Amino acid sequence: MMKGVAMKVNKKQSFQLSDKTTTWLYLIPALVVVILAVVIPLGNSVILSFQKMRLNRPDFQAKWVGLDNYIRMFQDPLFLVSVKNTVVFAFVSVSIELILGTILAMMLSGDGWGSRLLRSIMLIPMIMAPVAAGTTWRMMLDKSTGIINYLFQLLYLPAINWLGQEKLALVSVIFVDIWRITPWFTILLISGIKAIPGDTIEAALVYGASKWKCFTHIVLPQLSRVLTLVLMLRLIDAFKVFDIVFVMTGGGPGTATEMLPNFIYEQGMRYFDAGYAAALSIVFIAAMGLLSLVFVWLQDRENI
Amino acid sequence: MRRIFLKYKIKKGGNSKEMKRIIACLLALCLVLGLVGCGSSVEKETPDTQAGDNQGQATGKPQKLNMLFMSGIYADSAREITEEFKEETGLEVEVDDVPYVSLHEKIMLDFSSQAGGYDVIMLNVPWLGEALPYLEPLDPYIEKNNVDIEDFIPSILDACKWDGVQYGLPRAPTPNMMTYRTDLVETPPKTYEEYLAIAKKFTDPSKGMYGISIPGKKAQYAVQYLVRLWAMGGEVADEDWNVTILSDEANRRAMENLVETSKYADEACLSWELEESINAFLQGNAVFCEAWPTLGLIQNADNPQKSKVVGKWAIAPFPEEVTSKKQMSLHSIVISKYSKNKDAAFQWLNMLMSAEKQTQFYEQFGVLPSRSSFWQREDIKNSSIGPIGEGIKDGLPKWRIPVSAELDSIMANAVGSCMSGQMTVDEAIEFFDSELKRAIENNPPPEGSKNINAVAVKDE
Repeated sequence: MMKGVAMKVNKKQSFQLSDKTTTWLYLIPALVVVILAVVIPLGNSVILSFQKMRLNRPDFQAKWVGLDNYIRMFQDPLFLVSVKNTVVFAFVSVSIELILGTILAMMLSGDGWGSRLLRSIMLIPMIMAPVAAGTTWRMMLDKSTGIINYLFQLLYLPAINWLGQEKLALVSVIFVDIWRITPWFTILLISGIKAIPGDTIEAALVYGASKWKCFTHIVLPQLSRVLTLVLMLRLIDAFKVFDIVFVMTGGGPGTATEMLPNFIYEQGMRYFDAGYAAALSIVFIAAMGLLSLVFVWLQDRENI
Repeated sequence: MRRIFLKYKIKKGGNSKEMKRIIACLLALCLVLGLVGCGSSVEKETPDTQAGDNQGQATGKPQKLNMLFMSGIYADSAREITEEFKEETGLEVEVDDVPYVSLHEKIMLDFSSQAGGYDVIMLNVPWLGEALPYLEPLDPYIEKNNVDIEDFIPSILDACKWDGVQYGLPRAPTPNMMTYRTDLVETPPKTYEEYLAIAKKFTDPSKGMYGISIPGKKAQYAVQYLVRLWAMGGEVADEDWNVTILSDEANRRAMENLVETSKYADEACLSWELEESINAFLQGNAVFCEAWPTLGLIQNADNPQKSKVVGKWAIAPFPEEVTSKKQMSLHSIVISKYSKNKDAAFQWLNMLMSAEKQTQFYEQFGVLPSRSSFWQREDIKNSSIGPIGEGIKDGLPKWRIPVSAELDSIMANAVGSCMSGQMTVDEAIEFFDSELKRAIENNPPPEGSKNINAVAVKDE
């Protein structure tokens, strides 16, 4: 009888899954999706990037060209221009958004009705469709008929050709992006600020610390993890800018606002040059991967 | 994740493993059910699909035709005949539309997938060479249905042919012509020298008045370069597709002329689409307008609510220096090789392109007809669009080789960069030449194909 009970217990124990197996069981559905939707297409893109392939020619046989597509991109003047524009756009717009977002978050993190109302109003640019926002701003920034120049002239200021000049066009696009995205920074940073214990700041104030010192020595260090994360997400997103530029300037005047995602899109979906578009995408993904690694390293360092 | 489990185990003790087993089983079950569910839905669809096929087989062909047109007046006019077509044939017609900027991509993706998603497609003629492998030759259908193609304007009917085979019927031929103020200019200028002199005379930025209104946003500006290039007897490549931008002096002169033109235009024009440039003319702020007159100008110019130039405008050809060749927008209505009901598709195409319908579409939507009989009417000849009829005869659509879309972008970047001061004329010409050579080398024209535009320009 005792022997029989022991056998039952052993049988029951042997059916139990180890933690490791259970962990993998949980991960399987997600892994299947990732393999099907990410790993296989990405692997295919890597192979494609070493080939010459035209999707719009049914008679076209894919040819292995080695590193030709990668060499070509560094000899392509438009690629170099679009990389330069995208880097300038991403770093300038995100830096300003971060500074403005932090200032606004500090100002609006209170619980008064004024802060709550302003926080709600700030959501408007964020929830507008980028295409609608871009079109509206394109009309508002028109040199002859736009409301911005009309207001300038009321103040006896000269009309400015916002979208028709090489450097100003890029500045205008950056400005519209800042208008759209700063509220996003603000909202996320407000939630970070609210998580900081109030008594720490109160104690510092009691001991005579100035507000600036409270900000630099208490708020900023405790906000750094949120800041790093927000910065990483936004910087990667800024490198993928497409719709606002497409609607506002179409990459012009000339190539002044030509951005990398639009350049890749044109190679792939307009000229159907699949091999070259794949090579460009791989380089873009690798660059974004490196950028993410920097932020992950920064976060790990903060954890230590 | 392991840490979470351990935490759970500490909290819940021995029950946790039991719980995990249940969750794991449920997850596996969900996965299996999900897979089975997908499978069964496929199985469920099969009888319906078969029924559809049977129905199709009973009547011979599918009961619905799908069309793809450019948004706006072109798609709206195509939709106008769907009811009438259904009454005549019993076939449903659905007209999808996309804006011009997405049309090329949408068409080529449908063709490349070989799924035959669309039966009839509105194809911009410069994309003909690229789309050729996916098109159904129309000659047998034209013959079978006794279609009177003699009435189509010969030059534009030929533009829809490749190696003598008719792949489409021409629609909405629109030569690029200028509009001018009849109260300020007695007779339209015959040379560019005269044109620029008049523009200079009237340009006064302090009063918001300019000689010329130009749609200067990239691709549109490039079109104005082409207008000048062909008028000056030049081309970007010779008849065998050898790039001649650097060697053909007309390219440089055309670019210089465009730089000179921009001096008498509002500097904001670099960000203008067609609407803004047309509006500047309608508000009386320019003497000449270089935007396509049929895309909003002739429709509104005599409307006092929208225009300050009512009765004070006319259409004229651009100055003709060496040739009278005009850049022309032209679409071709084609049938996909993968259409499952080509006969019905042609029947619909035939109705759309009939003389009667084309006149109706002009009156209702302003779509320009492609039939000679329309343009030969005395009332049309004497109307404001009369000069357009003359312009069509000398019109040349852009190049039709597979690299056309890329050629357009290269030209737009060269012209746009030069006009915005990012490149000098020399740099722009060199960039245009080297980039076009690279593009043609990378995606060469079909063997033996000739640059018919070069032949037309050089022959004149």
